[in-house]
This record gives sequence, structure tokens and C-alpha cells, in this order.
Amino acid sequence: MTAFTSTITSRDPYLLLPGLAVLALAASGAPPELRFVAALGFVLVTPGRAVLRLARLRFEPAVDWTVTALFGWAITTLLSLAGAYAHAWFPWLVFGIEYLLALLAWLFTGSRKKETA
Amino acid sequence: MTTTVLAASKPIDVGDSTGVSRVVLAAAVSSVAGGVMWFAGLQRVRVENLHAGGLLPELGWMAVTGFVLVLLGLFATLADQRASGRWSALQIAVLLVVITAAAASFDAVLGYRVSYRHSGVIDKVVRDGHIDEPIDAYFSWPGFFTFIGSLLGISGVDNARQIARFAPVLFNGLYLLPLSVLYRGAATKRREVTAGLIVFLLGNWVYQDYFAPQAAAYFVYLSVLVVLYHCFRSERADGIPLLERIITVGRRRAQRLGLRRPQRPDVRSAAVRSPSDRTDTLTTAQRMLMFVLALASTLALAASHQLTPLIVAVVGIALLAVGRCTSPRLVGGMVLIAAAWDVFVGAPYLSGNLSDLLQQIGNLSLLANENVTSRVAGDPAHMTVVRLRMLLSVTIGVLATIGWWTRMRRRSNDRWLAAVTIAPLMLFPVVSYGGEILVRIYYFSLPGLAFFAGVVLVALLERRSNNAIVFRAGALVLIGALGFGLLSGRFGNQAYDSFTGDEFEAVVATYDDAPSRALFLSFAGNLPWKFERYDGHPYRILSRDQAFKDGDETADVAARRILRTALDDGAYLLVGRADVAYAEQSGVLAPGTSDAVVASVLERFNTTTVFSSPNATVYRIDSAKEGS
Repeated sequence: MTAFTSTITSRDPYLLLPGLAVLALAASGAPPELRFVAALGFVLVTPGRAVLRLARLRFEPAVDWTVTALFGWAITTLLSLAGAYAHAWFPWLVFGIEYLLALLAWLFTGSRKKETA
Repeated sequence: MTTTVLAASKPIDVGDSTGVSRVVLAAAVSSVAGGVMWFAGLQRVRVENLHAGGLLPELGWMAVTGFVLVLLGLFATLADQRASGRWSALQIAVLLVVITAAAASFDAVLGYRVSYRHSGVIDKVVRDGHIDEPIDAYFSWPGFFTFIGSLLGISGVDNARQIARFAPVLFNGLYLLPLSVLYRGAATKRREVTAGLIVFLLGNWVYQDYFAPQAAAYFVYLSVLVVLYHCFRSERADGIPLLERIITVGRRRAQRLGLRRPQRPDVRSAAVRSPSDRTDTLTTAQRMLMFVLALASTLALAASHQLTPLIVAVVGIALLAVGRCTSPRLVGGMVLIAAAWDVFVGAPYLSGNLSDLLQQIGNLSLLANENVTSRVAGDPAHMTVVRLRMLLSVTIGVLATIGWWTRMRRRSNDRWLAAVTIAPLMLFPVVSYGGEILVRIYYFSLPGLAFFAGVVLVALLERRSNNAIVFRAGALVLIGALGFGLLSGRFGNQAYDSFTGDEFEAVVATYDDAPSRALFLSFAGNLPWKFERYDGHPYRILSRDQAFKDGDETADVAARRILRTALDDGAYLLVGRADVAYAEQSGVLAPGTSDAVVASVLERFNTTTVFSSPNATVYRIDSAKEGS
């Protein structure tokens, strides 16, 4: 396994993969319903998780997933609302901001092994 | 670089999870086979054959047998102490799908009229790309619609109707996550968690998990409870001094009178205070971040739904009152945010309804009339359904009280969950919520009620005595009663909650034919309409016309007057099977009124039939006949 692959796999995949899945499905012309499920999975998993990891917060799994989904829902709702009230609502912009947040968390929170050590 | 790992739940008795017993295997087979039979049986249900009694009377032997097998599987899994978490999860998953995907399996098109309306609001918001003038209350609380709008934009789905059909499955699946966390925090045995989740699903006849802001807000509500429990929970006994003093004096008096035994060490509290469960493992910075995120979630919630933020506020206040919340500032912030959104953004709605809202406060007779008396009306079969819903709710309430009492005798520390369960009741004397507040209070209390009721089920199953089999039979009867109570209550309105393909096609044909601003008139508004051109037409509902409601005009006279006023822009009379069923079963129109109205309109106006089928007809009103 190369150092690059090792770096990729040792870090939190939930910060990267849901967003990649959304992009891959959009590029492949997958059925809209499937793309909707992927988009929903992304907003419920990635932004909330990014915030928690950037804050060095990790709860036991069930609590972690609950809080992750809650914050993901809240962040997406607030970004969409802000866009709608500001006449600048672009769903892909919402996605981009959230994915950027996730990339930052992925880059700066280190490997999972270190985190749980 | 380290991350704080917060293991928040105490260890609970998980039973013997080594190996799989034959009973558990048989239960799993029973549930899965039952689920398959259930859905196979549902394929024979025809929406147009449903009547005021709802789905239950129309179920064939296959569906009923399937449902019984699912319930038997649940019972067997609960009864077997060796059932591991995975087998319990399988049973719960089967029950969830059986209940929440049932309507979607036999509906030809998306059911429930409000789902179409919500789809229309999203369509409007997405098309505009912004929110300016509020058309109605939805546009003052648009969070859910913009949230879904963003997902539609990312995924390329044209309209929300495409994904709304399976919303109940998705939402209930989401609910189980925070619920299981909360139940694990309160339970002393894993079976209590499983039993609580089962009772929650069986007790949820309210059907507020369809494609709606309430459904999403309920998930947020449960998740906010998890945050309050795991990050801001206090186990100290010093709540509001006055309340604590009253409780202490009461306890002493009770002990003196021999009504209460002297205090013993609180074993549950000791468990709760184990190092793994302490909420103070958060650093100050982390607690501050959770504080901010909890407030941000409340803001998103306040922007999405009218009622749920109020419930969060009263729950927070209740937790403070009983000394189970460490952060008065957080609760204060939640109250402020909920109030601020309503006052500033919801001002257009509030200003138009302020006098009505103020009139409701403390007016118990008005609230009782709107929530109870006016609801027990209509077709006798429909009234039976309403009474069965009440019975189901009361049964779960009584079971919960017994469960709470049982745990209190065991000196369990339930003050947090009890406060969360009771707090929504505080809204009853304050707001009517369109005559729905009692139903919503039950809905928001259900998480706690279901847990405590589940404790009773487990207690019955664990009873070790010569009469153990009687207690087990009692548990089985209870599960059966709750299951069939759910079928009756949740699907009791199915005759008019479901639509046939004809009814949807009729509305589509009307949209295709109608010029902009043409008036759409229906008897009770129970049509699959408003999913597009949300503000493009005036949608009038005959049964809500004031002159008709006041008895100043008969239905046919009111209908003719309404149609005549719109002849210049175009007017349509939509007659749908579900609309007529709703109007007659709920008692807003007398049986036969719809036929009389149609006959009267055809007699007085020149009309063109835009769409005609056994389940729906649409008349375009071209002009008034001479002399009419």
C-alpha cells in the first residue's frame, strides 16, 4: 500500500465519500431518485461530522451519528435559507461550502488511529 | 492531535448474546415471512373500495395473517432474553417497514393532500429562487422547503412528489436513532430499549411522518433532546429551590405518615454517575461549541416549523424546573430564538391571527371543543376510528404511568425523561393549533410514554412466578391490542388519505386546461392539487365558505355564487372521490350534498367536462345560463 493510499484510507471516509458519491452519480447520469438519496446522505453525514471533528468532538457511535445528522440538517437548512433570503440560493453552492468544510476537516483532523489513541 | 471520545451511555444489561436460540430464529422467520405476506395481501386493497372504517375492514386474510406473524415475531424476540441486539434490530426494522411503507404499497399515486401542497410550496420556492412576500404561513417558516429544495437542486429531481412517497419510512428510520440513544440512557436492560422502540412504532397512529415540516422537525426535536441529555444534563437534585423545597417537604410528610419508605441509596443514580456517563467530560471550549450548535439547530428548527420550537422551549424550561439541565442560558437562548422568529419573520401570519391566538390562551372550553368535541363527529364508522385512537392513546398513557411507577419504586432516576414526557402538556392551555394540539401533545410525549409503557411489557415478560404464563399472555395480548389499534388508528382515514390515479389525472387535466388565475373550487379541499402553480390560482373550498358555514346559504347556492364571481378569469368545479368521502365522513357536508351541488351547477351554468372518470370529474364553467 502506498503512502498516499495509506493516508486516504486511514482518515475518516465519511468526510469524503458521501460527497464523492453525489458528484459521481451526478456525472454518471444516475436516476434522480438515487441521486436524491445520495444528496440526503451527504447532508446528514458530512457537514455535521466535519464540524464535530474540527472541534475534536467524538461521542459514542449512536450519539455521534445523531448529533452529526442534526448538525448537518441545521447547517444545510441555514445555508439554504440564507441563500433564499439573500436572493443568492444555489444548491450546488450549498453543497460546495459543505464539502469544503468536510475537506478541511479531512485534511486537518489527522488519521482516525491517532484520533482514538 | 487528539479527539475527545465521549462514551455517554452507562453499561446496561444486554442479556446473553452468545449463540442464537431457536426461538429467536423462529421469530425472525415469522417476522420476515409475515412482512412478505402483509405486503402481498395489501396488493389486493383497492383505494376506491375503502370506506369510513379505513384500511382495517378491507384487509384480507393474507395481510391480517402477515401482520399477526410480525407481532408474534416481536413478542417472541422480546420474550427471549438471549435475543441479541441484531435480532431485535431486525424485528424493529421489519415492523417499521410494515407500518410505514404500507400505504405506499397500495396507493397508485402519492397519498395525503398536504404532501401535494408541500410539494407545491417547494416548487414555488425553487422556481423563484428566493423568498420575498409570504403567500401564506408556509413562507414564514420556509426552512424545510429550502432544505428539500437544495437537495432537489443537487440531485436533479424535478419535483418533490417523486421522493415524497416513502417519506414515512425515511423519517421513522431517522427517529429510531435518537430514540434508541435516549432509551439506552434511561434503560437498565436492553429489552427495555427494544420494547420502547416497539411501543413507539405501534403507538404512532398520529401519521405526522408524511412529507411535511413536522416530520423533519420531529427528528430535530428528538436529536436536540439527545444533545440536552448528553451535553447539558444535570444529575444534581437542586433544581428550582422552591420546587425542590416543596418536593422535600412533601417527602418528609409522606414518610411521617407512613406513605413513603425512608430514602435508600439511589442505585440508578450511582450507575448514571459512572465515569463513562458523565457529561462534564466536555472541555469548556467543546461545551461552548455544542452550545452554539444547539442554538443553531434551534434557529433552523424555528425557521422550519411553528410548533416544534415551542415544544423544545417548554421541554427546556421543564428540565430546568426539575434540575435536570445545566445550562439555563441554552434554554433561554432557545426560547428567545423561537420567539424572535415568530415575532419578526412570522409577523405577517401573527398579525392576521393575533386576536384568535390571544383568545385561545387559557380558554379551556374553546380548546376542549376544538380538540375533542369537534373531532368526535361525522360518519359513525369514522367516529369509531376516532374513539379507537383515543383508546390507544389512553392505553399507552396508562401503561406508561404504571411503568413510571414501577421504576420509581425501584428508585430509578427518571426525572429527565418524565419531564420531557410531561412538558408538552403545558401547551394545551395556550394554543389550539387548529384543533390539533392534543394530537400533537400526544405525539411529542410519545417517546417517553413508549419507553415507560415498554417497561411494563418487559416486566410482564420477566415475571417469575407460578403465573408467569399468564403474565406472558398478558404481554402478548397487549402487543396484539396495540398492533391492531395502530392499524385502525393510523390507517383509519385511508379512504380519503389515499388517491386513485384518476383523481391525480383529473387535477393534471385541470392545470393543463386552466388559464392563469382561473378559480378552482372543491367541496373540502381534499384533492391532490397545489403541487404546481401554488399561487397561480385561487383555490376555494366550499365547506369553508363563511356564508355556507354560518347557514346563510345552502351548499348549492354558495357554490353557484363562488363560481359566478370568477367567470371572467375562468372557473372549475373539481369533484373527486376522496374529496367527497372526506367531506361526508368528517361531517362537514351532509351525505348527498355533492350530487345536489353538481346538479345545481349543471342546471344553471353552461359547462364543459374537462375530465371524467368513475373517481373524478372536472367541470369547466363557461358561462351562466340565461335567466339563472
